Amino acid sequence: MVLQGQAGENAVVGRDAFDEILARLQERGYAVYGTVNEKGTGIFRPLGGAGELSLRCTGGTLPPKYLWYPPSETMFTYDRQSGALRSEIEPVKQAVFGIRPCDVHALLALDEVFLGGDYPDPYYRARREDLPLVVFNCVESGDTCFCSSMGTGPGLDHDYDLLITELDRPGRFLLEVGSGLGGELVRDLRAEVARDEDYQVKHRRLEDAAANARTTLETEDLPRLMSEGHGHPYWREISDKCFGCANCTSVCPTCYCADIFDETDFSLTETRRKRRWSWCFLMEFGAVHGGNFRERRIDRLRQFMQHKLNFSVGQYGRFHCVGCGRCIVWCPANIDIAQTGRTIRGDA
Amino acid sequence: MVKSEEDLRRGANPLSLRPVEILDVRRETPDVNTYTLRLVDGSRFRFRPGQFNMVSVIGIGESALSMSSDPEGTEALAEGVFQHTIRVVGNVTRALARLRAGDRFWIRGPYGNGWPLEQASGDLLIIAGGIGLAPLRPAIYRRLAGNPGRLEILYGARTPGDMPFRDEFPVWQEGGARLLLTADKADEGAEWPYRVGLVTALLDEVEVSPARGQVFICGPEGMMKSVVGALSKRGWPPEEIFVSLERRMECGQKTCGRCQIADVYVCQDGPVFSYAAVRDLLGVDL
Repeated sequence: MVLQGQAGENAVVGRDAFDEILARLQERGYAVYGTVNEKGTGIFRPLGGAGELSLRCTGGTLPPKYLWYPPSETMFTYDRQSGALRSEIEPVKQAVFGIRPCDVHALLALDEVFLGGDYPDPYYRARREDLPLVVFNCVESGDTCFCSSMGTGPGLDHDYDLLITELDRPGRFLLEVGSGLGGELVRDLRAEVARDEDYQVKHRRLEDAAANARTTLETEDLPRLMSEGHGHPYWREISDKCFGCANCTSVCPTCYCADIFDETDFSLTETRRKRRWSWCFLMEFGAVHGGNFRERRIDRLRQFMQHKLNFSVGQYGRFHCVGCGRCIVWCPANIDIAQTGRTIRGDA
Repeated sequence: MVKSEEDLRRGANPLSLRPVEILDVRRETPDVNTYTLRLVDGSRFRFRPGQFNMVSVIGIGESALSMSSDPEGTEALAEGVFQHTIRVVGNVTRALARLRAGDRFWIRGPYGNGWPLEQASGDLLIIAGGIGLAPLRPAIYRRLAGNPGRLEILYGARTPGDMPFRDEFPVWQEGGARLLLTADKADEGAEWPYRVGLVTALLDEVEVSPARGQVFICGPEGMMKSVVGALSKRGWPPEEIFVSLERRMECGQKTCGRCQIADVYVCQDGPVFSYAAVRDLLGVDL
């Protein structure tokens, strides 16, 4: 068969289709990022060729968040001679090839944070409005993945342009088209017709990935239980181990906290107002004149975890933990947010 | 930030700045100045009592600071002016303290919800500590301008010399406000015919009754906690007590994350909260 390029279409393709999709994204002017296995871990970086893509089921060391919410950005520039302000908001054309369902959910959470209010954040919007997503469903769980607990994976059924699920034979992939743009990326591609069996394989693989998750967290009633457990002795236990290094927040795909500050060049000609990531683990995060609202490390650690597993639900109606497990991997003290949730709720 | 039709049309960048010109700087106390300001584009700056601006001295930084003037006062209506009353506590406020009439700085705002003046239709008890009187001053003027209910103001500062707006106190009293003052300490020999001690000590003299009134409180968090505790003991229901909270803020847009207390964002959900809404949040270390 030949794909017509319509949303809702599906087919079975080989890995060579990835090259075509990548080429078409690049032809349309997108900088395409994907997960590449490098130095023993997966990282999101600009793709040279589709052959570099890692199919391994983890989202990599760092989430692709930096593509739509950069670690540091200039909001405007002030000319100290003329006194004029220049705002620097340029539309950005980026695409992600191989983003995982958990990271798509994290992106949707950030959409609510930055675009959901009365005044959408124009800097975020400039990176978000034209952002094709070619999603890889996860057919196996990583050691620290608990997306199936958080309802964010291992499969996705919305908000993708193209959705790719590896079938049981290597090199066979179920391709599902989720948007008009997704359609354009695969129009006229030669492919096999997807049969019921292919869908059965997809669903079985996703069910297996969920069932084999080695990390779990029951989320039923979790916000209430976390509130009730605010004084649980386990907080002391883990905060005694915590280095306060902010690794967890640095790799979190939903963390959005920021610092806004001014930077003047050495010639004193320009001042740039910048926004850069900040983390609730930093001592000065909650400091005001005359006091600090989270002076103790236990307060800061608890803020991070309570925000993910409790407060975010009150704020946005969804957990700002998507179960990607990166904070567990990168904690030098072996503090585990899923373990914490289980312990506080009494499931440990 | 209050959304206007015009903002919606032009898809305003909520983080962009507007320049203001300083028309006058008045020294209130050794470390507090009141700035009378006007937007450089000549338009009237509209806000509600209790709201705040993000105030920038570009090159130094930005601070969340409340407006201190009557938004509907004669000068506001005629000339579009407004005021900030600012205590020097950090880099930005120190930089502001160096500015003079004719100088400019930048603002964005207004942000936050403000005092629930429409709801406070009966008697009003205002309790302020230190620079906490500044965000309450717009509410005081609005009340004096048109509410028949009783207005009582309890105000405490470190020393008598740390009280801003002292020359306006007689105006407030003539307008019908009952004003009770206290200073944490007053130098011997200083002319201070009022109380010495914490603001909570004034509560016994309050005449406004919990049955038909509201309380607005702004001051250091420790002071607000003890005042709220004392009011609760005197029968004030938590729904009728309103506090303006201070938290670190960088954006005013619910995106920098700094001002969160549990699931509340002080910048937009507040800064004014009923005690009923934040009672459980203030008791624990959140």
